[in-house]
Amino acid sequence: MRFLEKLVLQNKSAVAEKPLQADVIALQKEFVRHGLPFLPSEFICFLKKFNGVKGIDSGILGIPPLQNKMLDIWDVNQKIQLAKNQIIIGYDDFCFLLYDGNAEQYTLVTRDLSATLETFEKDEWEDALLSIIHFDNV
Amino acid sequence: MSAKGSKYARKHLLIEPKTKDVCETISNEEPDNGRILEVVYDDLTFLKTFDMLDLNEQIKTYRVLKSLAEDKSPEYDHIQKSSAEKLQKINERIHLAVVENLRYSLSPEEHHLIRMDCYGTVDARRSHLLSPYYVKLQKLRLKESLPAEKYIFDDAPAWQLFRQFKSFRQIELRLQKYMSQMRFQPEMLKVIGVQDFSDLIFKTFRKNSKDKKASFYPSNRAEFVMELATKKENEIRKILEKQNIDERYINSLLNAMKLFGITDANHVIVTETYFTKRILERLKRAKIPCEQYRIGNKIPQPLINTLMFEKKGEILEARDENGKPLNKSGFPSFEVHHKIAVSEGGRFVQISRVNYKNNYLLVPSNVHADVLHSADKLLVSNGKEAYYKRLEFTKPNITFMYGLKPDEQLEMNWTNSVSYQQQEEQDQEYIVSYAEVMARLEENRKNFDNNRSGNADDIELLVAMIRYKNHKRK
Repeated sequence: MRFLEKLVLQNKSAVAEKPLQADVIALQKEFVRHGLPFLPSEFICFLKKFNGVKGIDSGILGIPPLQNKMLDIWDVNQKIQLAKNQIIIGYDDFCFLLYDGNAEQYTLVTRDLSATLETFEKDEWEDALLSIIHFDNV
Repeated sequence: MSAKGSKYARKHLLIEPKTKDVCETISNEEPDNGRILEVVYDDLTFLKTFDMLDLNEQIKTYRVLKSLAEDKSPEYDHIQKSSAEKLQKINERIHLAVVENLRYSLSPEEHHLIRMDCYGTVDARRSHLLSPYYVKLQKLRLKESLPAEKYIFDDAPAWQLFRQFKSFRQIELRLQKYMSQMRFQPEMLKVIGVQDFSDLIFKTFRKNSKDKKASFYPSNRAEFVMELATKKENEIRKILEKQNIDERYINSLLNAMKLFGITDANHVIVTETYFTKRILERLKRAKIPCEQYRIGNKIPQPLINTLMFEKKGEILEARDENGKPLNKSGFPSFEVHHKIAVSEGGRFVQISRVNYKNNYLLVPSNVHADVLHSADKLLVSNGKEAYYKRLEFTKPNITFMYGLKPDEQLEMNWTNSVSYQQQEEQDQEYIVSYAEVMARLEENRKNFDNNRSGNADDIELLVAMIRYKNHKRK
């Protein structure tokens, strides 16, 4: 089991709702229609296990419909205007974790989008998600 | 999304980002919106109507007003102006104002330190972030270990950035011991950078070699929550009671805040207030003495606390009328907000102040995201990032807020306490300038390079440096 998955289970932080295949496909279509990128396959695989994670003052966003709107990837991305082909997949009080469809990279940026703190390649997706989520019990 | 929209959008009530029409904006928010419309169209008594809404409705109304205030279409000029005025009035009542500040941005390294200091955790550093000096010198170990005090952190330019924070000062000895144990060369300290030190902290404090996150210090954020809940328990309770929240959740939340700094509903174990037949049976089964307790008696706080610390809190877990655990999704979760943005931490000469308790605010998650961060914007002047727009408090001591009414806020002057003043005094001794520190580090590295002879190790170092520089350029 991956370290991130272990932490999520240990902290009982995952939301209960599981996404349906149809929800994933419909969301991807809406994203593309709105100039947002396809969610990367490794992230979708993670969401199939944990469709949104709520950490301390932080979250990894999941596929709607979700009871917790704060973790709804569509809802959050509607409120914040990003560059084309970028999408927010996680947040804390300092930063957003973006997925950049052009560069095929994950990026940790300040909330005002003015500075990039770290970038992660696709195969570093677990490190990327760990960089945005905070737990009591580490 | 188009007016017709997709089946997906209609099914999930997705919200149109750009508003074209007042009714369309509102209808996208929620099906029953009579009172939201009243706030939008009634210019005289809108505040009264606004106060009658519950928190979720208030937030929806706030989002609608904001959306309308930003609509630049000339045909909606009147509604745009009146919405902007209403938003301003709502903000003013709760001591908030949209401010535009000059940029005081920080370096990514300083950001990294502030985040670590706030949560008390450090992530594993990926190898390409580490400097070649650190990578190489880690391999060139001493034959015998040196005493910990031989590792002089005063010599380390990059560590001076860490030292600005109490949390990092407190772990210096642990790091010295780790370096001694690993038989590292003390000279390493002069040339290693911020990411290298983070790696050192991570490796010193990780529990297992496969871990990717480590806790190195009690989190500042949790300390703030615990102290706030202890000192303002009654006041917070009164505010929450007014919202018709289940009393059992209020008790359990306040307790979780006091004991562990927990503020998220999902992580709060909601316990019964009074003994029930089921709880007495569960206590008996767990072999916890309970003969003295009767159904209907209040559960004593020491028993709750003992079970919580022993991770047996579930024994007391509250149930609904059907005997099922309570659905916590309707209970408010709280988050800690930085009143002065971390990215604007350069506004303080002493950057550790960003994580001082008087810069923290405890606020429900939805108010945090949808109100307090709603105005965040970077403004550009003459082609450069020049100003930062944000909602800031006009009263410096606000430390807790529930909703968007003035009587749902609490003030506390953290700066009066002896511990605050002591920390401030100590921190002031360690203020450094990022640019000076980096210049010293660069100079040390040049000297290090010049002093090395051309042996095989140096070639390896040179190759590592070229790779590192190429990566940074990329």
